[in-house]
Amino acid sequence: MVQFFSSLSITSTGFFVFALIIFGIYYLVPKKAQNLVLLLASYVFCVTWAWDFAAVLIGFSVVNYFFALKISAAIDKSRLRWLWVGIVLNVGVLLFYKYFDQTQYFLFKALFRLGLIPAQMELRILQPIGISFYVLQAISYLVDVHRRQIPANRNLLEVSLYLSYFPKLMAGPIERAQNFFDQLHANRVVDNQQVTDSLLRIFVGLCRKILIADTIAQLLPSGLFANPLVFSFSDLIFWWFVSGIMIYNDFAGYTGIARGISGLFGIQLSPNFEQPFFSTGFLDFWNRWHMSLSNWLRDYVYLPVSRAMLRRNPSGRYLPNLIIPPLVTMIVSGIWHGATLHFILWGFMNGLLQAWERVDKAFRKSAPPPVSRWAVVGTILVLLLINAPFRLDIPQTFAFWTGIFRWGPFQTFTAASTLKPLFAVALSFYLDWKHLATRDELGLLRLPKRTQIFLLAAGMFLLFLATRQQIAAPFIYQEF
Amino acid sequence: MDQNEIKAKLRQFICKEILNNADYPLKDDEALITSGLMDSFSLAQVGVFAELEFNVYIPDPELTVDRMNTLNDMAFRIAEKMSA
Amino acid sequence: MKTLRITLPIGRTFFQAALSLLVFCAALELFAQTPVSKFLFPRVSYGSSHPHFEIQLSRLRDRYAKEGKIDCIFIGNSQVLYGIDPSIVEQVYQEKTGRSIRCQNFGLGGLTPLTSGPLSKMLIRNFHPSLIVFETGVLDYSPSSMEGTDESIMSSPWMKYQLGDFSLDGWLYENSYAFRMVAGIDRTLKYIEESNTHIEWNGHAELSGQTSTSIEDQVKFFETALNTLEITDRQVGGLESLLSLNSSEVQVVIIETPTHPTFYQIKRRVRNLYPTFESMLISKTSQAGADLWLTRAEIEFPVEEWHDLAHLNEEGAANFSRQIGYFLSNVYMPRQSNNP
Repeated sequence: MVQFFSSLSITSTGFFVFALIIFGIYYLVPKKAQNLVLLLASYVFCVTWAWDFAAVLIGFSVVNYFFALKISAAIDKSRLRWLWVGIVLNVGVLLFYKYFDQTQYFLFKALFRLGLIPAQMELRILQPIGISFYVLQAISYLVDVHRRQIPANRNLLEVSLYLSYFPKLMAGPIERAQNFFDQLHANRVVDNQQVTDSLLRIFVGLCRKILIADTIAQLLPSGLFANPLVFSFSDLIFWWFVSGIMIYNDFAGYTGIARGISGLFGIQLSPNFEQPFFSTGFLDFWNRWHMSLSNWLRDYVYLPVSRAMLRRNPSGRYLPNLIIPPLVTMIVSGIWHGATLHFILWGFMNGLLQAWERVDKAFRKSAPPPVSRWAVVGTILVLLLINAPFRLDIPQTFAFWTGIFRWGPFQTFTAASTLKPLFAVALSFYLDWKHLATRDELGLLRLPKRTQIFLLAAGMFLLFLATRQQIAAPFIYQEF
Repeated sequence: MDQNEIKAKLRQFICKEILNNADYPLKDDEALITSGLMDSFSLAQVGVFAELEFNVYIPDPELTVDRMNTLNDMAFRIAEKMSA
Repeated sequence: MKTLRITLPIGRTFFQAALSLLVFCAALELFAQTPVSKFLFPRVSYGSSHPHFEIQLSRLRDRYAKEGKIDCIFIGNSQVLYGIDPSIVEQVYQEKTGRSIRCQNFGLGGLTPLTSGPLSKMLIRNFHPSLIVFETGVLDYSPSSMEGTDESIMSSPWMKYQLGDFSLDGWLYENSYAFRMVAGIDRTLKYIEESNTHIEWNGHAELSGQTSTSIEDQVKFFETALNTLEITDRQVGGLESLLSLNSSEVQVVIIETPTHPTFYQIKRRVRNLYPTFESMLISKTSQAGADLWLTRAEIEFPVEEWHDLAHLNEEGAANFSRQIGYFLSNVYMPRQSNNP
């Protein structure tokens, strides 16, 4: 029983049983106690991973609660001082957990050489789940209080729930405090439509995660990321594109499930994706991919940096104004994703692409050409290449890029290794196309009844088969 | 300063500095962001313009498509801040 | 005030979909039992990734369904698969004793003593043989480079189910034709490029002639295994587990794997280890009261009867199978065969 509820992953049976139990308790208790139920459930969820993760989260929530009150009560420059202390503390905690493994070896070596410790030590500290996400939420809360966007919340339970809410704890979406607190205060009534929409979100999320992402994950040739040199051009391009679809559906699947579970409690979480593989440009892509993070970066990094630079020189054609803000923003994004050079390279390159588009737009004399489907294809191809450092370290990245020029036949072709990924890719595009065509995330519900029944039945059948003897790959974004 | 004056100044700024076309026939209710004519950098420019021209600070989280998509929206926000 | 305001009916579409799915699954189950489905999808799966396991299981099941009780099953690695022709064993046994015997080869490439016990339990449970013959050699007891092979058999949910470890997958593999058929389609797609060792109806596969790879290159291939050769407790424990099945109901016989004439000249380590291996075999079989045949002392297989360093070819297999027939005629008496 203990093992069943241990390290609950959002696609595990244990998690769904857990959510069902919480659902039952939630609707049995009086309305006043519902937020408390969600908070306790969130801590229980955390504890299934590790006791210390929950302890970190509780401590973190209390500290940020008090910092927000301090910022709110302070006047003039001391408001800004409290804000900076809060931000530095939050970022410090995040960097500590992210960078500890890399630095602890050198740190203990230095201490040992200085004679401060008797022997070379090694200490392993696990990064608490979701810390990258709730740190960003905490920072946005403090900044919004400082800017007087929202008052500091005097209810510790609500602040704690905002940071630890279990459907979004592991990998977001990164919610804004105002939106979340409003929902906590509101009369959350869940009706038939809400239940149907939520269950459909969960279903589509499971299809994305299991039928698409996990299926591809199982079929990726071993060594594709570790040793790209052994693969020819056609293999690299095919599998790289397919792995891009895998990463997208892994994350979009998680978000769908998280939003669906949350919807059953009457709390709407923000969407995170909007058909990113239909992007018409690099700026457009980042408005469609991991939107909650993109919006956070825009509001708390990009716009402040842009405005600071524009105040010095208001010209929209001054090159540093166009180049520096996207570079800084994407490098911050890179650092957030990972504590290694290749993430910084990834951020830098994406920042360069965005800067290029901005410069082009700023200096273009004529109206932009109408968007063509080749713009979509071109955008995706370039992004696939540029995003190599997201998964590969620097030597592997260069090996991958040089491998693009190693012409050769498709070495990894087998019936299963191409049919299944192609099916997965087709399913991914179908789901996105349906969303785009109906302008409705739940566009499947607008189909004729028989088609809905067929698709649901087919989905259930394939999900059942796919979960047989399949070891679910962990969520990729859970690593952050 | 009333909203029409604000709109006039905004129109001039946006057409000249952002759209690169001082003669562009910008309508009051034309969707600037959702149409792709403006993006977040352009909103930052509008934000700084509002600071310099109207002495009004529009916080970054309010520089969004929901609140600043049309000339009408922008003028309304600026007028609101000015009277606050 | 109630915050959950759902009114019935709710989820009608979902239930209709679930019902449609049930009807479809029932129809699929019926279809999977028809000759048409067996023709269209001949390969069924039991959830194992081992290249020979499911084929051998299908062969054995088909023969059992057709002919009834199988008296004798040969188990071991690829040296059994290629090296023992059950038809010849049956023929020689009949000639020597006047009694008929049904033999099946269940050789699985890479099988180690560790898996021989659980495998035999499964075979006994399903096919009720009265004789299990396990062929084993000095290479089988090292820290296993074949653990992947053991895993590919033992990780099969069906196999675990046979050994008492219940799971939904195991239950489905055991009881659902449709599930095995669909798994077989998936398996066929996955392993369509796998080398297709052709396994006969009696479980034997033939290797003709001799390999073109030189002895030196073959030795290089075995280099790692030969350099780490030892008799580990873990694998000996596996052998003991098999021998513990020796009873009045099921006789377990151990046969030493034939070796290439140059085999013991390759490495001193191999030569030095042999006495330990031999005395271990003698000791364990005698403790269990099981019969043992040490072939090294009694038979020589000339170079022409070998396909490569490890495997007998057609001629060698015929020779060895005849010898086995003689041996079994002295140690084994089958009980009255009853059709199940």
